[in-house]
Amino acid sequence: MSADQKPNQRPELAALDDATVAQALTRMHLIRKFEEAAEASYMRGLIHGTMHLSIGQEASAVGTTLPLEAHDYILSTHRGHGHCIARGAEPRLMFAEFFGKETGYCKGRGGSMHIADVEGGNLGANGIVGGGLPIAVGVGMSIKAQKNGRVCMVFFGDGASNEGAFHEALNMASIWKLPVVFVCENNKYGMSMDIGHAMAVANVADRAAAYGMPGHCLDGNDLAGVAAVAKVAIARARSGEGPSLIECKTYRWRGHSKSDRNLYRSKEEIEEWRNQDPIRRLEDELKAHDRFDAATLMKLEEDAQRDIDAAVEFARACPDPDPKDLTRDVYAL
Amino acid sequence: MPIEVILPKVDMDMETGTIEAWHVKEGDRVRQGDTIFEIGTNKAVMEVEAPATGAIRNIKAQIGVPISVGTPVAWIYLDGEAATTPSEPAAAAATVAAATSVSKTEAPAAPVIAAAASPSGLRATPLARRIARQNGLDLRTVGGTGPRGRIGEADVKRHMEQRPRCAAAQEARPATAPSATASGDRLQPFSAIRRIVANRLSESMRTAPHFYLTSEIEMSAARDLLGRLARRHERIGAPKPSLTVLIARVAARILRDHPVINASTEGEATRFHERIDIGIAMERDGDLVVPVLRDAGGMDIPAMAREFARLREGMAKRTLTPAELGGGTFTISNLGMYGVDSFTAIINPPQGAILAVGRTIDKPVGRGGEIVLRPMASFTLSSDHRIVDGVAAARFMVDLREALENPELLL
Ligand SMILES: Cc1ncc(C[n+]2csc(CCOP(=O)(O)OP(=O)(O)O)c2C)c(N)n1
Repeated sequence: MSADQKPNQRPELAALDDATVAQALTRMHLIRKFEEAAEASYMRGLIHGTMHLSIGQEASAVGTTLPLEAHDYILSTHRGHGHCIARGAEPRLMFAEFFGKETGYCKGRGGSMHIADVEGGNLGANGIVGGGLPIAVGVGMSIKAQKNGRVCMVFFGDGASNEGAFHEALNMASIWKLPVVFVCENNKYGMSMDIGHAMAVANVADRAAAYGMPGHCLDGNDLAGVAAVAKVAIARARSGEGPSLIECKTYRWRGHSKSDRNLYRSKEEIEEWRNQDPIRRLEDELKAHDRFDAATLMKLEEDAQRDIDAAVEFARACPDPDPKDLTRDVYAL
Repeated sequence: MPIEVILPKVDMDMETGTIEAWHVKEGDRVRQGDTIFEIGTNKAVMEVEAPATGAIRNIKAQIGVPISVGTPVAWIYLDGEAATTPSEPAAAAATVAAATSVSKTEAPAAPVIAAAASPSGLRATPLARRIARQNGLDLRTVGGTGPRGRIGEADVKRHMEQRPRCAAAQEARPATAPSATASGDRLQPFSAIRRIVANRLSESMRTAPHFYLTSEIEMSAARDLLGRLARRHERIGAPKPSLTVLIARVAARILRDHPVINASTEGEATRFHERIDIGIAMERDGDLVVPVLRDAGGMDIPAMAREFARLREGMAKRTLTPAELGGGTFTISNLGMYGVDSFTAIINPPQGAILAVGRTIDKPVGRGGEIVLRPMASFTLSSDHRIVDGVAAARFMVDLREALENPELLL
């Protein structure tokens, strides 16, 4: 903690130095602006397929990944743009992927739901709900066998936690004390299904008890709180004590995918959660403790917007794949 | 610079969309996030929100005309911005015209209702809006009797009966007699449903090699059975079964023995359906819709009569979900009640077959060396030859005849 901070700061916030918190805020802005720009491009017909936006969930992606080390891994979901950016992905290469360009992370072949950047520690998003969970167990086994001291963090939704794969993965990871951190982003709905109709327990984190691991139920829109708990879970995983389950309670402001009619929730509910905007909350708290002034905060946001605008420009100008390369990366038929 | 409002892509395979209703009018103040128009896609009606706060101007897009994704349809002027028409909107307005299917020469004759005539801030049910639109009626002239003054279907209909046709209404109505001059023609863009029907059926005719088998089947026993069932259903409080229900029941029973008729094409494979879901072709406001008797194989006749009645009512009230209107494994189309003798139907893809039923009428037939009159009906099975062969279809027709002529065999 630096000396000139105001007293009465929460220990979770005080634990993050100015550079770290500025980086976290920048990443949250980048995620928000990235998704807004992706949405605008989609609406103009520039992006094919569908996409799942995580606007409103930024603190969960950024907070959990903040304490990861450079060589650690993440596994992401169909709602994974935030995870990629939080892990340091370059928005311009992500846009290139969305626009189906040769320069994209997967040479334009994967699109929104299949961004992977193995060198960058992102082992890939997955269109299969819960698909990353068993993979995380495999990654955990590999880390353990190689004794390379890494940690694998796997993201999934509340809906995924009702899949068999979730239970099998947690059980096995716990039995073998694998270096995995399970992060459930509970945004209240699996498509249009309210968790109240899909789960017999109140919190996904309550399920940790069944697998003998710590379960943390968090306000997922509180960046500092999420980062503090993630730090503990990551340290536990790295030290060989085994996995943890973190549940970030949060909310997606947008529909499930681009074809959602929002018939299963009220405008009031969406409005209520908009008032808990994780970005504004962090900014307000930083201002209240005199850590950043309004002008500095504004600049962070403007810089992020500029980066995203430039990323879109870059990606649009990139070359399309050449049809003759259709089978270049096909290794099985 | 005013903020452009575009026609957004809101669905995966969407290339054009149709504005079904504007919720705002020229010059209205909108807040970011307010619903400004409704857009119809192949699948659903979605609300589109204002991208910014300000005054909405230069509303260009017409209701009911397909517009390409990404086309500007209006502009939002931020507070303090000069409200003159900038050159960009004017230029883009030309794009709108180009993007729509109405060409310049046809434009004056096209009876599309200008967006400016669209009522804003009015509460009206989608059905009321649709009827008003179809009849060129300005909703603002219709009083609503629903909650908080909402205009319902009945309000619009009453209004139409009470009022002599206004000029606008006449313009939007189909010409009663075909006129030699093009000016009397009416160009009506496809509705969302019409577009689905058009696309699916063209695809079916293009890709599925159809062949047709027709059988004349005696309906005496089926008729008797329907009479007895009517009495029994009255006792047990089930709706009176129609001939369509009986045919659906018979088909559901024999389809069990004919898996290839209860099948669909899927790429280069045949999908044999475990469940028998029978679609029944029906008409609603001039549109073809096909509600589905789900798991018809497991239903007895009273259950089927009840489900049929529920679907019919749901269809009329528009309460059926898209899931209830699609995904059958076999389809029946009965036009007998319209006096049609026999016809061939287009397969509802990806299904493999559809049964077309004509009217039941007394015909002279040979029985035991005599010519006698018997109630006869014609059944035509259209099959997709990619997955159904002639003999397989013929065997189905044999069983269909046997079952309808001897319904007790089904027991
Ligand atoms: C195995 C599987 N089942 C169903 C689907 C269809 N599907 C896509 S996203 C989704 C809901 C997922 O909900 P949740 O895990 O809560 O994640 P969220 O979308 O809320 O982020 C479903 C059912 C799928 N992609 N994969």
